[in-house]
Amino acid sequence: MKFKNFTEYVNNFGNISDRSATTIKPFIKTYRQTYGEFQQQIYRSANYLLDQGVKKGDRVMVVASNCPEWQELNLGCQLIGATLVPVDARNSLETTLNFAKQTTPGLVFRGKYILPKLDKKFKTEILENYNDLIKDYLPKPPNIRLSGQENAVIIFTSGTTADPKGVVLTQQNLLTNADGVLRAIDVDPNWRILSILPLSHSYEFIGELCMMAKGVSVFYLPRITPLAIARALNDYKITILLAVPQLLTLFKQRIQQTAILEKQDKALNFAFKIAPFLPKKLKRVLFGKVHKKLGGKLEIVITGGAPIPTDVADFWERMGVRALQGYGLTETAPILTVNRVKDKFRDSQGLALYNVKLKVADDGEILAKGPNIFKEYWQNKAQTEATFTKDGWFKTGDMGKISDDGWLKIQGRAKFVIVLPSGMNVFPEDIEVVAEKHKDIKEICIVGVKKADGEEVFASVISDKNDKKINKAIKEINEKLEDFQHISDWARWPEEQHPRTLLLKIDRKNVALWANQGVNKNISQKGGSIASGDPLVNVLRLSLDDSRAIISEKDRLADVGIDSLRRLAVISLIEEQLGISIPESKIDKTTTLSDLRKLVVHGSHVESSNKRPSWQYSKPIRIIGNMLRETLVRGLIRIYVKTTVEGTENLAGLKQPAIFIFNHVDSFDAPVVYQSLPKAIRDNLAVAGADDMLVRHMVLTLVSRLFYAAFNLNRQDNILPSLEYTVSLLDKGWNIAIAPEGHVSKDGKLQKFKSGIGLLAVETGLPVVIVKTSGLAGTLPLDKKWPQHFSHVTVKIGQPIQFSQNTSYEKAAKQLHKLMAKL
Amino acid sequence: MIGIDLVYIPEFAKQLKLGGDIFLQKSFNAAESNSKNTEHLAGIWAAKEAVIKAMGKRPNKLTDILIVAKNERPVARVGDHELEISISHHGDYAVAVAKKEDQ
Repeated sequence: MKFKNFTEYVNNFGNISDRSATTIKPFIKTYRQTYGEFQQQIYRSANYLLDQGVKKGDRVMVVASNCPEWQELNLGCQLIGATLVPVDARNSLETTLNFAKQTTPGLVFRGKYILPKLDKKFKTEILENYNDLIKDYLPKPPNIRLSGQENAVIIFTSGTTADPKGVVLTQQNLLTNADGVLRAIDVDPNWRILSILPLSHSYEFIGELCMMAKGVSVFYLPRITPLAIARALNDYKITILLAVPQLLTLFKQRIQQTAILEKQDKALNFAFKIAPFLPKKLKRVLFGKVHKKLGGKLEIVITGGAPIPTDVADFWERMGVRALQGYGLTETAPILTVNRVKDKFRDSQGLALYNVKLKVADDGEILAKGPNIFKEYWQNKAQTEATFTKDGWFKTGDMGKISDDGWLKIQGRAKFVIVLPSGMNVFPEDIEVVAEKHKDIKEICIVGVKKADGEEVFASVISDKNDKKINKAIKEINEKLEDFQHISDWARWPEEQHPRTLLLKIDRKNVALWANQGVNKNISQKGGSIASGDPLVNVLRLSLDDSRAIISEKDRLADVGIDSLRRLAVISLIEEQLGISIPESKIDKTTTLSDLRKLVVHGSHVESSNKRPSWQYSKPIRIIGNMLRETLVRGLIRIYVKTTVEGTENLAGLKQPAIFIFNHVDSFDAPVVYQSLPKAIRDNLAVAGADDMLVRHMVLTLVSRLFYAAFNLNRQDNILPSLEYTVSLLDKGWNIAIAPEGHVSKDGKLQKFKSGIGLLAVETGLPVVIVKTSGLAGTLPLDKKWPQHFSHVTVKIGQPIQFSQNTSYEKAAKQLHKLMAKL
Repeated sequence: MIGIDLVYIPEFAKQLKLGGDIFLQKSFNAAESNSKNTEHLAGIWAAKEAVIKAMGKRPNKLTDILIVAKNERPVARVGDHELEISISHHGDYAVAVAKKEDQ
């Protein structure tokens, strides 16, 4: 798909306007838009930016995590020829200010909680408010002609170095690269992609650009954690991920650890042995349990940022998930090579894109040419010139080999190649691949240490074994290496983990610096019996903000400084990082680390999605249920209850779905309310019932589900999952009827409303209709099986009301209460 | 019985950030965390801890304690009990006192 400029790119959304474009669930409500709606937002965005005085060539900075608004802003900028400067939200204020100083943005957009101090120096807006900011602007394409040569983005590489370089990519750089990728990878428009890498990185940026060109549905997360990703894979049935290898390694470890916990590790190992002989479909059946945890639909993971360890790629391939890797740099917009879906797995970064030329220089450095190669470093002519050969090839700075049939294999960054006194070149990556497989080594980073006549191979090691064992491990590793690659010396890295770049690669530069400054080998051998890397100790240390805190199994948490505040942070962290939920009440002042460990082992795994019966919402059941209700059930109730309805006219023009709230005085009230509403509404109305009620009375449960499309609300424990479920029904177009008092009123008087109703009303912004019955109390009390007497009931229907997003939940609940009392 | 609690807001903010949404959901009822202002939340946290001291025991969940405004004054509701509370902020600290009527 070739686009000359972003005007054409955004125009294309018109051809796929009905497809789902973006989805995000910031809290309990899911926000979706189609490509048609997305296109309109982008046009509004462009007109808004123009109105703010942003002109062609002006820079606009964004410091925020991924969300639909991020893309609306980005594409809005592109349409008017402005240049977006995306900055990773995890950067420090200092780094961000440095980027800003270089690019002098006229307007800065930041995430709500990100670097508020930017407001003092720049004209800033909050990205979360973007849809509000642009809502009054015309959804029409701006009248600006684009050539495609406009600077589209300035992306800074390695923000931690003293002088970060801003890579300028033009619209053509990006669009030709997207074209190359789309020729190499046959993107299925029905894919569903989860956006997890920062959009401020060229890899995610181009990835989403490619997916959106084809009409793929993109899902965003308000917060990126392993648990949130696992849930999203399941809830959204994600098919494809762009990831750094680290994430796949993490998932691999989690799958293996869970297997050990569940005593399934032997079965898992066996499955891995036979998997290579099976076709993909059978692999997925064999690993069905694992796939279920990954949402069941995950087909492809494309990794970038760093080479993926072969054993990790192999692990995923054996489970029937394609693990493809690509190669490129920000300067190449960014993809140069990628593995194809159809090709068999191989240990290579893949073939060059059709519009990219690659060659290997005499010294082994990979050189590239193509329309995707960047224009320049921002205001840094000397650097720009230094990265091109005289005949115009871009010097990637990576060493590698290209096979006769074009497969690229990267050996390592040129600047990290270790040059031995003999003149031999050693690639740290080659050693690491071998060393990481050793069971006594957790993490290893190989760097060169300067000696008088050259460098020697040095290893920074993370391990929970003693020095003797590590010496032995190094010996065993050396036996597997070529003679010239042998590790000469090693030391323990003084912390839990090696320093990492924002893309989670080990920050080799910093490790090299440390190794060359002379290492104090005793630094990490501070007594302490706790194995480093124990996830529980790590969580405690995080909360104590002391990465060296020594906590032994018998220590009471309170004694090491875990007070009630930290305790809750620890419980939350365990839930988030390990996916295990521990009841707060199980931990107190006397709990020791070993107690906590037992709780974690026996803790309940957090369910990834709501498991609720949904048969009552299937079409055939609704047809039967509605029919029976309208005839038989209605007739039965009429024997006991005569109804007069007032205020039906208030429902004229009501926009569905809506929330109906009623006063709770009798078992009959839901059926009576149901029957008082017009057929068009009640045929599409689901009643909320209390969990304990519905579970206790099987018959009642069946009846209420069949006739009244009832669902259960959990009123005891955490109310959020129930509310989320309610919102998901509203999202699907169901009207909801709910009794906000929670319990049946014993004396018939209106009780206080639960604030949950306020939350529902405010967060969904949907109309709320008050339905009040009088004269019903005592007809069929909760504890009786049969109606006690006949009654004549008046049902009053109020006017629909809606709440604005900034109303407090409590206030909304109170106002509804007042209105119902008055009605 | 009375209870008092003092919260150092920067430390509270740190733990809140660490624990994220899960922390927020476990500590506060929806109505309490409507405003995501850290100082405000620290005050509510202090109030809850003060209530626990006044009650003499910890409820199963912190969300079992609901801090709401009643006639412009904050009160705490725990089951059938209603406790008078008072919250104050200054600089880096939030402090709260709770009073439980003797039965």
